[in-house]
Amino acid sequence: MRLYYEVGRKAFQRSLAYKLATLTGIIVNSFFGYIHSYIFVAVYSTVLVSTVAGFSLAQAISYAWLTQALITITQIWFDQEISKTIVSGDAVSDFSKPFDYQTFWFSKFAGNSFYACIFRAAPTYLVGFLLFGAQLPHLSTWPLFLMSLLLSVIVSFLIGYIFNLTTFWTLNPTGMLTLGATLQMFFSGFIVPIAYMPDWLGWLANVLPFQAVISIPMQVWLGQRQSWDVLLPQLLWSIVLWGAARWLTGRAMRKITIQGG
Amino acid sequence: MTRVWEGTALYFRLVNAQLRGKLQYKANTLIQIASHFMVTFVDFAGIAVLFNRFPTLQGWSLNEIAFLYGVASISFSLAMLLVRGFETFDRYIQKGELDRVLTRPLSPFVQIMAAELPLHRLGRLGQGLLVLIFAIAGLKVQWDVAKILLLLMTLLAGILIFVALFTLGAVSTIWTVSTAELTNIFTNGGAYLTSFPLSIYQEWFRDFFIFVVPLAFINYLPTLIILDKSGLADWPLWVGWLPLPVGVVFMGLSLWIWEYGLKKYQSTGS
Amino acid sequence: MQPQITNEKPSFIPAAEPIIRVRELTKSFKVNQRRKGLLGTFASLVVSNYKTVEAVKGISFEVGRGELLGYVGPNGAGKSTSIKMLTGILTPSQGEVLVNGLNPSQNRRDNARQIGVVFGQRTQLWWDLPLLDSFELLRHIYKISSEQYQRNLKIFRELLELDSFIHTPVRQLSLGQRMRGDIAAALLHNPAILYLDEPTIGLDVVAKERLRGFIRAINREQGVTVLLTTHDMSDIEQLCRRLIIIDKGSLIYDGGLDEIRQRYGKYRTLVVDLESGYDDEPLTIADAIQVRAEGLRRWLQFNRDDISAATLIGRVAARYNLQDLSIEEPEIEAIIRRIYEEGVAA
Repeated sequence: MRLYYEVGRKAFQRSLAYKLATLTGIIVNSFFGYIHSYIFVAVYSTVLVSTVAGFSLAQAISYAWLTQALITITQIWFDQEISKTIVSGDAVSDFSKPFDYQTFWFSKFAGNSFYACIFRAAPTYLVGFLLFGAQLPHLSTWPLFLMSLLLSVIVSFLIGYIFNLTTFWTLNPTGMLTLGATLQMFFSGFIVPIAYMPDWLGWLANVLPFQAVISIPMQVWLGQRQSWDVLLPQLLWSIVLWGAARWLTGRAMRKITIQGG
Repeated sequence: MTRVWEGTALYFRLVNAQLRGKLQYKANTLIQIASHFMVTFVDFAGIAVLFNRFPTLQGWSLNEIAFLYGVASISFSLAMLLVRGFETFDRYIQKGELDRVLTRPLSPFVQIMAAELPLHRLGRLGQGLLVLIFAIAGLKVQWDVAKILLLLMTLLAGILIFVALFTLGAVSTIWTVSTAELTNIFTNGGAYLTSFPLSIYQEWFRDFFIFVVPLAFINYLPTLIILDKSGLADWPLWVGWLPLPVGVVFMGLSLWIWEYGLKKYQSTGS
Repeated sequence: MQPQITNEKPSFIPAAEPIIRVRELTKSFKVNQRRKGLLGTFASLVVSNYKTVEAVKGISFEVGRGELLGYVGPNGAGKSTSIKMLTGILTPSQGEVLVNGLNPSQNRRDNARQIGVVFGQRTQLWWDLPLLDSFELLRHIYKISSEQYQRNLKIFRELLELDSFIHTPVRQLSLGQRMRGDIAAALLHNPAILYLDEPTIGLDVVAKERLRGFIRAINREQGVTVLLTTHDMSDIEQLCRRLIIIDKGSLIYDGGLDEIRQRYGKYRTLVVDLESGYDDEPLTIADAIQVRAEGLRRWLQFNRDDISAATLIGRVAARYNLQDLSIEEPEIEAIIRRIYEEGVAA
């Protein structure tokens, strides 16, 4: 346990060292928050109703800033570090080290998420809060939100991890990882809220795991969903994907020991 | 003038060499092109979904937005095919590759442009073309020679302006630490923000993208003429005919700063 | 070209028909001192905090046409900064450089046509293309006429033995092969001067030896002036007659390789093989120290200012029965390391 804590802490500290990257990252996130805010202002200006698919303009603007914050925490663009170690062959030696491979990478991911939460997401959302009146949830919502956020980090890690592991078989990560990241960006509700999608697309989004990454914590934050059963899909996907990831890790290990990587 | 001609000829020779190198990995290149197509496709899908719930975006229909998007995407992707070396310019400096460039009797600008050929960006070009075709098919534009010429000039100006932005981003790394992500705001971010009519933003924001970084000319201002839209209240419509002069001036300015930056590099070596 | 340089009387003795003239060459840099912390990072972006560092301080020397000159110094001595000024990459802060009549930083392109540069740690060849394709591209970059190109290609294919791998993509070449390709690439346009920066780095002993042979042949047969920077003193020992040593931005030695041994190689070693009967007994001789012992063989280090070799041999022979003896000259490597460590006065 201690080891994984240290791995996470290392990842946290490493991110912390890139201060300038943090600063420019916040600027970039704020830039996109700004543009998305004005896109929402523009589309809402032409409708007569005050809410569209459950979003008021104020909520839509909050959504714009919240998604910019959440993508840094859940690292929605798959980190390719794992697949790089697979391509380079370093993964083979990682397998033989006395730690659990999957937990080891999760610790790193969690460390990065924790860092992003404090130094990327919070400042970005603060900009939205100060300049665009992005909403803060009621105090009573926070426990549910934090639970949901934690689960979103777990699910995001597992999806990315599984896609990264396919490198053991494809040997060329570009295609699979881009496919995965693209699906995740769209079906998590990062590009547009799932509620805006046509029924068939929305249905698809709600049966896929990606909604657990952005859409669910977002709905909790905006107060659209307030009961604890909102966490069920996240819990379910965490368990299913953790199992799938375990199984795949085992297969990868067997592949290495039999074929020598 | 002969220098420009020779430089261009050499540029194509060098790019052709890159192409031959790339074609040794055909499958890989194709996967990369397809991936890039996919990523940018989702981008536009998001806009289409928005129109599922909203009838217009401040008076602009989906096809009209698609027109803006397609034009921006085409010139941006073409520029991106040219400028990979500028995007990674800070690494060029760190690895000493710029020193090598400076020991050759050929313009550093041409050498950096020809240094890499990111073929995967053809994916975005394909996507941009598809979106533009979708846009034009759904719009009842009275095409005449003038409008076609304006569209071509706009695309060309877009390439110039984006290449200029990448050049400026590259040269800025000579003065300061890596600013790749900040450059990204103007390049990737620029292609994104121009996918929507500039009139939706605040005045200071859109004026910045008219006067300082003239991205308004890569699609928005000419599109007002081509699609017969009413635009900004405080701007006459005829400025939409100016993308090419603006593009040339902006490119010239960035080349001047580029030369200045190289001089600075030669005197500081940083 | 700046006429005042050629009209001025040289203040030092020039080598025969100098091709490179360097006078009072100085380069100072402003170093941005980064501040700590997030706010500091931000502050450094807005207001910079500079410190001036002199990397090269008033270096003067000349290189004769056809010379093969060693240019050495420890890391950070100003060696590569001065080479960058010679090749036109950097502009001098003060002083003058004339390379074959041109000021490199003012006539960068023209100078580029008359020099060849090989950086040992990175290649100028196109990674994914066959070696020959890189040559073909360079032919166009340097505007080499077809006859000149064919002629040179033939020469270097033979001289550098390129034939077995000239159609192989560069990424598949061994380091030694790639270096030979790089040298040929740098010479295709018949440069008057070839700058070689660490050409033997990373090569095994055999490949190093071959490469040195090639460099020697190019210098002799093609008459190319070669300026060689290296950390490997055996490169210098085997290739160069003249050596320039740069340290802390200043030129601390410029002269023959033999002279440097004479002047700075004060310590020599007398190696004696004793007759049996002296096992384990250390030799005690005035003005000499036993530095090593292996069975009956003993190494005695002495300073030739204190005692001549003849006297020392006399003293040893007077007390011990000798089978054999020899004198080891100090290796140039050791001498130069000592010069770096202790300065010229040592």
